[in-house]
Amino acid sequence: MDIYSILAHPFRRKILLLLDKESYIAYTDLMDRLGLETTGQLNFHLKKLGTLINKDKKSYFLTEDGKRVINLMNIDKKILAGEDIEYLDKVGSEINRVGVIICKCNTEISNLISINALENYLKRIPNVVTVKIFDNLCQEKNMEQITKWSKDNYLNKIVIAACSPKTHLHIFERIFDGVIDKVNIEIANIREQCCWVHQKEPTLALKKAQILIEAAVERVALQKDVQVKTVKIEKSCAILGGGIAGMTLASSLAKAGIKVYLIEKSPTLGGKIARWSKIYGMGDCSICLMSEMIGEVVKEKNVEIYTNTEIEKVSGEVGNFSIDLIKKPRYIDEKKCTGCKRCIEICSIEKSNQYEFGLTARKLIYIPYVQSYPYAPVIDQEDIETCRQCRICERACNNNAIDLDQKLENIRIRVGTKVIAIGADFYSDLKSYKYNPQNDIITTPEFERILSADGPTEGKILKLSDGKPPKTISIIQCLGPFDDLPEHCSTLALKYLESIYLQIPDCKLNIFFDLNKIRKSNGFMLDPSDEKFHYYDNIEIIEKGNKKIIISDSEQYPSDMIVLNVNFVPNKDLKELRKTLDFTLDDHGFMSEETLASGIFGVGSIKGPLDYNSVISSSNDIAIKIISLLSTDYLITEFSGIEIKEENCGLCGLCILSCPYNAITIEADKITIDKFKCKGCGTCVSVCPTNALDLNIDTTEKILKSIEVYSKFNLKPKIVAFCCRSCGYGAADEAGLKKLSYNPNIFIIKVPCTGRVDASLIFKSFKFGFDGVMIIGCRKDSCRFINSVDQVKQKVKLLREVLGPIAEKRIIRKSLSAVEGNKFAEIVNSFYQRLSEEIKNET
Amino acid sequence: MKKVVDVCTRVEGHGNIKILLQKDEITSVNFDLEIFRGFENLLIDKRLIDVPRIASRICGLCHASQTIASCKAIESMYEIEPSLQSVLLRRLLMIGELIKSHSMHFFFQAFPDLFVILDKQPKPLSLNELVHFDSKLTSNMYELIKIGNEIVNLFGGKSVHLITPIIGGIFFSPLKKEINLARRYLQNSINNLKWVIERFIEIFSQFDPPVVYSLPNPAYMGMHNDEKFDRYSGILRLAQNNKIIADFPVYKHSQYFDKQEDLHGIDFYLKNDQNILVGPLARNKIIKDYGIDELQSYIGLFNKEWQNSILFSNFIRLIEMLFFSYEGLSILDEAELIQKNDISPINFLKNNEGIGMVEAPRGTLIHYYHVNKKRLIDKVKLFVATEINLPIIDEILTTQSQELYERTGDLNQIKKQAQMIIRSFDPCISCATH
Amino acid sequence: MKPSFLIESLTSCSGCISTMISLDIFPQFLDKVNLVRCSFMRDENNITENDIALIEGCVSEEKQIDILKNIRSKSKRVIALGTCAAFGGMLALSTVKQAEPISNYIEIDGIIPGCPPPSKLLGNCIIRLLENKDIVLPEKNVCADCEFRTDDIEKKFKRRINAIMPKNYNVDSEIEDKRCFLERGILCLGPITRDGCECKCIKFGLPCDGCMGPIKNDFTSNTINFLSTVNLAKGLRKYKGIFYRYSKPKTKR
Repeated sequence: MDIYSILAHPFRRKILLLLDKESYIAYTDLMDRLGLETTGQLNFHLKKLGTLINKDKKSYFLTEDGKRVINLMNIDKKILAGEDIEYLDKVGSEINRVGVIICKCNTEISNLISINALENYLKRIPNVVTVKIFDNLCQEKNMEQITKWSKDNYLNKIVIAACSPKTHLHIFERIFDGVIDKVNIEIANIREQCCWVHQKEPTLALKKAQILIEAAVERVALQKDVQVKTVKIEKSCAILGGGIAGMTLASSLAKAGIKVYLIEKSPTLGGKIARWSKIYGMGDCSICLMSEMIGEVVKEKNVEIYTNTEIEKVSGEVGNFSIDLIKKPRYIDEKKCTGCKRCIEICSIEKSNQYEFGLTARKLIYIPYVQSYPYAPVIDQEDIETCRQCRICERACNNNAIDLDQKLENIRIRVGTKVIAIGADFYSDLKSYKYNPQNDIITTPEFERILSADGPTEGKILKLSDGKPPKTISIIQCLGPFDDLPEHCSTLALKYLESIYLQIPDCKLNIFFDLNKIRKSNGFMLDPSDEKFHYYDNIEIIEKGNKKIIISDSEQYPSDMIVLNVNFVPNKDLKELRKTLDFTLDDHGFMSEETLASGIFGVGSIKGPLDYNSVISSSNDIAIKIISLLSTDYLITEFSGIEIKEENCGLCGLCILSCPYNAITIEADKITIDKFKCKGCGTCVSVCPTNALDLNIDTTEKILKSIEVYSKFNLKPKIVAFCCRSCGYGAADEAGLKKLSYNPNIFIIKVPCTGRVDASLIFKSFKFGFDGVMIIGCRKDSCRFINSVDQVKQKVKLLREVLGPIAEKRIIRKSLSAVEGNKFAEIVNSFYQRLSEEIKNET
Repeated sequence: MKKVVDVCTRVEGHGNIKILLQKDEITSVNFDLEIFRGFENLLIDKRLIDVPRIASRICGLCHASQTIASCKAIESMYEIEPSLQSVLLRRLLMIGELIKSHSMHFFFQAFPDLFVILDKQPKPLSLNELVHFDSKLTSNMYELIKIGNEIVNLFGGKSVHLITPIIGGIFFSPLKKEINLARRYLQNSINNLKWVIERFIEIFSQFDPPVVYSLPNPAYMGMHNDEKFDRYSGILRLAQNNKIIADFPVYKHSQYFDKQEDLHGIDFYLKNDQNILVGPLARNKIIKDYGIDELQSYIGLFNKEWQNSILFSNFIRLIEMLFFSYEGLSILDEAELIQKNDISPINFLKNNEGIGMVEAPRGTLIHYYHVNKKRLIDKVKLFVATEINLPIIDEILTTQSQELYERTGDLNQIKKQAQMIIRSFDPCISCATH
Repeated sequence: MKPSFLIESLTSCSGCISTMISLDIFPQFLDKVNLVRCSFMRDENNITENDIALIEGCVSEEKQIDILKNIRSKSKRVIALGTCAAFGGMLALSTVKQAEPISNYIEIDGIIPGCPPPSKLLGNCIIRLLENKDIVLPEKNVCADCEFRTDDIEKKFKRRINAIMPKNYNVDSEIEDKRCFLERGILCLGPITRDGCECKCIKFGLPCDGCMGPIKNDFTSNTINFLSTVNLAKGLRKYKGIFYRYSKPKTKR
């Protein structure tokens, strides 16, 4: 029940007062007394009064609650006298009833300053309803007492004058849980940032404590309701990419009861590993392992598989996305197909097989490889026109499974979260290495196919040019654009060594390593004394007829077959995917760390080069994250961050430019903020030139009010310090905890990040009579908000350049970590000294 | 010594009349401008590219002239010539500005006074009376103000503190539509003006102007272009009693007049120490005729007393408006006006000082800049019409007030008369307090 | 009963008044109001009780403060007319002269910004004042209305800002270059300037110079916040011609 909105209307106040005086009043009498002419109006007000009144057969009377409200109205003399009525009318339910709690902290606070004097000062502040004093608030025994006190006084806002919010805020929030919204609890830090640091000056400490509490009262009075957002969670997950990572994840999630949509762009599950010969360190061939895994996924009822399918559009938010899919035609009805392959046998047109990296040819209608799932032929969309002219396969199929006029299918799914598992690509810029499979200069994927039993040579190591076994094989390691990523070419090379020696024991092997890369990545060298291993600075491949010679630092190595061990590079589809899915890329172009913000995860080598085991373990990690995210029914977000007023936004884009999290975007001539990405640093607020953006808790209004109240402290020189809540404020607390002493003329304003501080706050501080401005933020490399601290640095720098020497001396910006209390005290004292001298010089 | 100060109203800006009395005798009467804004100081350390825009803010009535004078000064430093199209557009802007400025002064400030001076009314018409005095006159004058405003708006982008004039020319190329619109405006302007001029002649020409307003034979200064009336380009002429004292290009001005370091007041180095008058009347005196018979015949309707009275400048203002309406029409017919010309780029600073002159509605306006090695301005001299006229205003004020005081001893009458004298000079206080 | 108006000029160029006189509605305005003081057009010059006081020009002299206070005590509403009265104006560039907005000395009930205020805006404001309503101003910045605005923020702020004006004055290509000025590396103050001028300068091919003044904070703060966020060339960093254009912040000492 919102007591304040009930009291807001004079009629309702009058009804209560009348009932209080006369105990029982009949309906018609009430109408007369209030001078109302229509019943509708009275009914409305009676309904609004809710449980405060009740009715017997004839008359209305006050309930117990009603009597308490009357009590309350008697407490508030202004309302009783009718003085405040106009104000109440105007403000309505936004009326502030602030209660102040002063904690003596045993005697830590009361030893230095007179609690009585503090109480008397506070009682004179208009917004303060009542003041309560505790010996030690943080003790559990007080809980009941506090709740009763706040209920009795109908408080809706609380100021706690005690220790730092960093110490006990969570305890206080718990005390008031369900009674007072936590945004309406404000703490005046009179222990760490006042009493403990000004032990030598009790009078000033009292004055400062008074002002600190007053500012907290004014601040909390300005707090408006914060909106809470609830999203019903869709217990399902879309996985993009049916490779090893996607399938592992799909089966884990499905077992946990989560509906999984496994979406694969190509016509078959399996990914790249399905075409590998075997996985290093595991005896099994990889296609055997894969087929087992496919079987495991396919049998799960919770997994729905879409092959030949791509994402078209995504809307919604974490917990509830809606995804539009396009399933490309396969031209074969999977349900009708028996897999007899007659159609393939009868097809007469061949083209090179992309699943064999172009090493062999295949028919236009084909099954990608033996263990494909679904095991049904497919025709590529690009070939369909050719096929429609022939249609021989259509006639050959006994089951009428072939439908060359199949259309693409639009599918919409609803999911709670989505995962990208499309893997990586191989480095392919190999011109300088004379890459040419026909001349036996091949890459690792092709060599894997050669090694595979189902490959073009049926697992025998043969030269593709003449089908004879090679006598010398050279492997050139680690070809790719990145020097600083962990690579797995050494394990690959070892795997190949094993395989080659098994097949051709007398084959001569040369393995070449790039010294530059090893140096740059601080990599290790495989046994340098082994004559198989060569380390080079420069390498060149020359071809003489069909002979190939590798020149490594002037040494020559003729080779029958050269294997280019290529590295992983980011999947080329990532850039395209970013248009529909919201994620960021790292410096190399791989997907950067997954964020809950956009409700998107990445698994497998999409995030960088990974070996088989790492892929499996990363899939399991993500599975746990997704299961925990989807385990609740609702995602409740009490958003503390930026609020947008669209009617004031001119779409200049400065906020977008300054946001460290890329949380702000312009869509359809509207600015939108991703409330999950936004961490509430307020850097955008500092640059917004209109009133379109503001933080919803640390509002600009509140900061300015603090400056205004603090300016009441009338000793010169006085300093205002903007401290970021993680480091600067922490350092100030630390100074208190160490009981260091510094000058009392400094007032600390807590901002989420110093990036919030803009030039106007500094100018306003000067205008209100402050002599110096301090900005204490995180260290550059450890800014809580990526690079926000840099942005305030830029502003201060420009401000100093513009204002010239005056600003040079009066604005300081320092970076501290939260444990550097002594440095904080030092900085304050020396700044105070400097300003004192400055002022002396001026007069 | 006793000092009496009275606020001067119905002028553009803030001015006081300061009467100094000693033992029942007036020692001097001054037109006191109280506020100095210090644009000459303000421009110091600024980049040349910013200057025209700042200079515009010297005056909200002759902003175009200020901007163009400033551009011309800077162009002379870069030694670039604006294209013919730009020159034509600049002339059009100055024409629009002149029509607006003159008609506002004539209607709100000069016209009510003329009735009192010529004994047709006991006291000046109040604003309300003025508006309802002659509805045709009122609507004609409003329309003229509007016409001036719209012409400037068409070619300048805004009606006050223009967008298009930049260093090197006018950053704008008009379309046929805009030219036709301007043509219509100017034709209306001619019709309106002819009516106003004839009305003026009808009401006032048979009266003789009081001697109080006769000019004490000053030297007139103004611009002429090869003996022809021109406000945009030409050389300066000093003349007295229909005799030419000197013809000189503006960069040689320091032989005849200059500003001191403290930047207060302009010193003229003429033999007889006579005061200088600039403005519409001076412009009329230094040339033989306007080259349009119609205008000359209008002027011929006034006798010698009229022509030697400062009150005549009110009529000359109407004549100038008509002259420029005709000139505007002929500019609009020029083919070059719609030929899109590039604006000369400003790359190489050739001279470290430059001077630019135009005839603003209220008289000669000269901007002089000097830059330091960093190409920031370090010296500015602004010669503004009203500033040049101040000594002669003070001279007439003092002699006429002394005379009146001897005769009547009534300070109130002196105040009233002084106000009217000042207004007849149409001082632009904004400009003068630059 | 006609509403009474008072029009006062402080340190100004009279551009705002001249704009007001050349408004289409000005003749009707004169008919509908009782003008108690306007030294541009009237002889009587006393400050008397009035409904609405329009004040143009900035405060640069001590004695103007008394005039202001006198006007405030006799006016029901005081409106700052033009950027000078609202923010300080061009004179703020001066190093010797003070140029303060009138709100530094008296409480005001509204501003009509612009140097001079755009005719449409001024006309609408005056009509609202005649109807005894509050002035309504656009609450967005110039970008909102700008036809060259790009929503590709990365592209917009990619280039270093190194010019105050377009370098190449080719009338045709510059006017027809429909890219955002910031994208072209030219300083445009549109983002930090109040809308309402119909982006005239930009339409004429020149960047916004901020004459409509800021929406929140003060001009200098906004400029600093803005320019520290974008990629600003070194040569412009110390140039006060940008930072104090139209306004200078007041610091108590």
